[in-house]
Amino acid sequence: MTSELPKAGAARRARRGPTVDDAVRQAAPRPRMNPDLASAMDADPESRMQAIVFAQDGLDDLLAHLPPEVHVEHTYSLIGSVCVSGSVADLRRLADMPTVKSIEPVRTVTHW
Amino acid sequence: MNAAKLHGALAATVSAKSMGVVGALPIIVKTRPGPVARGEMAILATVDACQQYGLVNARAVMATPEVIAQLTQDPTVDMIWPDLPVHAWLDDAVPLVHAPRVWESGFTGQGVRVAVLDTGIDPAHPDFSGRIAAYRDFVDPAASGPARDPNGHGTHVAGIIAGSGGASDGRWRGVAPDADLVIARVLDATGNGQTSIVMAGLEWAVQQGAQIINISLGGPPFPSDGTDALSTLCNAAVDHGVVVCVAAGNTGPNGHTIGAPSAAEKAITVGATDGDPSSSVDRVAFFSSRGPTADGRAKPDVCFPGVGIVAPRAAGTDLGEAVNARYASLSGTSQATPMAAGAAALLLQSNPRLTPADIKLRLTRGAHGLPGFDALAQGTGRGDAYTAFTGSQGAPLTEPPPDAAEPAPAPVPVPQPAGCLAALATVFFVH
Repeated sequence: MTSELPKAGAARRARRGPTVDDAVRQAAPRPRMNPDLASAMDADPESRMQAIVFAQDGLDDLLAHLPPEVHVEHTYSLIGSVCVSGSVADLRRLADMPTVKSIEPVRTVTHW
Repeated sequence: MNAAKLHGALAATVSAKSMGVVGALPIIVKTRPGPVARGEMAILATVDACQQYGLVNARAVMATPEVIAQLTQDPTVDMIWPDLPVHAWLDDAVPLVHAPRVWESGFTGQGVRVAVLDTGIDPAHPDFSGRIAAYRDFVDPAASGPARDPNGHGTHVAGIIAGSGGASDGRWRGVAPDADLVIARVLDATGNGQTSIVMAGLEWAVQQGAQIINISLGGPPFPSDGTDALSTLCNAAVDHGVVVCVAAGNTGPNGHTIGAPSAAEKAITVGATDGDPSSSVDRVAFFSSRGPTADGRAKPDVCFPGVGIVAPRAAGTDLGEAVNARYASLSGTSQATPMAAGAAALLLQSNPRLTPADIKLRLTRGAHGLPGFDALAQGTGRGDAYTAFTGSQGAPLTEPPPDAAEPAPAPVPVPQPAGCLAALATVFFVH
C-alpha cells in the first residue's frame, strides 16, 4: 500500500511531521552498514576508509574478534565502539561478523 | 515609505536624514527568494552592492535615505537593516544573560571543569592564566610542547565560557570566569575535522573529569535523527553525568537544518539570538539552525546571544573581526553555545548535585520566550543564567515589530556546513 504513494506521502509527512509509519520505521532494526557508508564504498571500492564500528556484545568481544587487516584508530568505551581503518573489502567483511552491531561512516565536521 | 521593513532605529534615521542631511548610509537589504517580476528590484539594481551574501538573499549597499525609502516600497524587499560598526558585545551579552547576578551570589564557576572540543587554545592569552587544567592535541598527536590554536575559534569559545577578562581590565569576561578548562584540540587549523577525532576528544574529556563539554562544531547529515556515532557518544556522556552543550548549527533560517551532533537527544542544543542588548527585544539569528530533527523532535533546546560576540583572540590568528590584538568579534551558534556551557558551570558550582537533566531543565525553563518565533527556532527562548540559578521561570521578552519576527522560510536544498560566521559579523557590524 505504501508503495503506491511514496512521493505524495513523503510530501505530506514533511508538512505534518512524524506519522505512525515513521514510528514503525524508526522502531525497525537499523541496517548494520550505514547507507551513506555503503554508498561511499560502492563509489570507491578499491580505497581504504575509516569507519566507526559498534560492538554487538561489548567492546572487549569486538576487539578480540577484529580481523588483523583492520587497524584500530580510536576506542570509544562509553558507547562500545571503535574507529577502524581498512580496505573496503575488510570493512564489508566486518558487517557480517556477529560481534558487530553496526558500522557508521566517519564524517567531516566544521566549527560553527 | 514602509517603515515596517526598516529594522530598529533605521526608520528614525532615514526620516531624520531625509530632512536635510545628505549622504549615503550603509545598509543590508534582504530580498525574498524566487523569481522577480517585471519592474521589481528596479531600485535595488541602481545601487552597487558592496557585499553579496549566499546564505540569505541579502546584500550590503550604500544608499541615500531617499533610496532606502523607495526600497521599502519594493515588494521583493523583505527587510532592511543598518550595517553597523563592530559592537563590543561580551560585556553586553554576559549581563544580558544575567551572569553577573549569579556572580554576586558568589558563583563564578570556580572548581568546575569545562571541556572545549575545538581548534585548541592560546595558552599565553592572559584571560586563561592558570586555568587550563588539561590539554591534548588529537589532530597532531605527535606534537609536543604547549597548547596551541592556529585557527582561533577554540580560544574564542573558551573565552566566552571562562575568560577572566584579564587582558581587558575585566571588560570582556566569560560567563563563568573562574571555571577550569579542559581543552581537546580536535579541529585543524582550517577549523575542520572528523567525527572520529571529535569522539576521541570527547572520551578523553570525560576521563579528565570534565563536568561540562562544549561542542561548537558539527556537520551532516541535515537533518539528523541523532543516531549517528557522535550524537550517540554525546548521549552516553550525558548518561555518564556530564552536561553536553552543542551548537545548533549555522544553516538556518529554514527548518530541518539540525545536523549532528546537534540532534543528540540528551545534549543541550543551543541556537543563537542577535538581540539588541539595550532593549528587551530579541530575535533568533537568521543563521541559527532550526528543527525538527529527522525523527521529528524539537531542537534547538534553548538560545543564547551569538552575534558580534567579542572574546579572546588567539595570537597570530585573524578569525573574525579583530577588536584589538587580544580580542575579536565572531558570530554563530558557536558563540551562543559556550554561554550555555558557562551558565551550566555557574549552576554546577552552586549545586554540584544537579544532574545534566536538571541543568537542561533549569536552562530551558528559565529561558525567556521570544515572541514571533516558534519552538523549532528558539527552543524555549533566550537563556538566562540567573533565572536558571534561582529556578524561576523566564518571562517572555517584548514583542518585536511586526515584520521583525521570523519570516516564513522558503524551501531550500540540503544545507552545506557553513563554518563560523566571521563574515556574518561583517554583515551586521562592519562596513
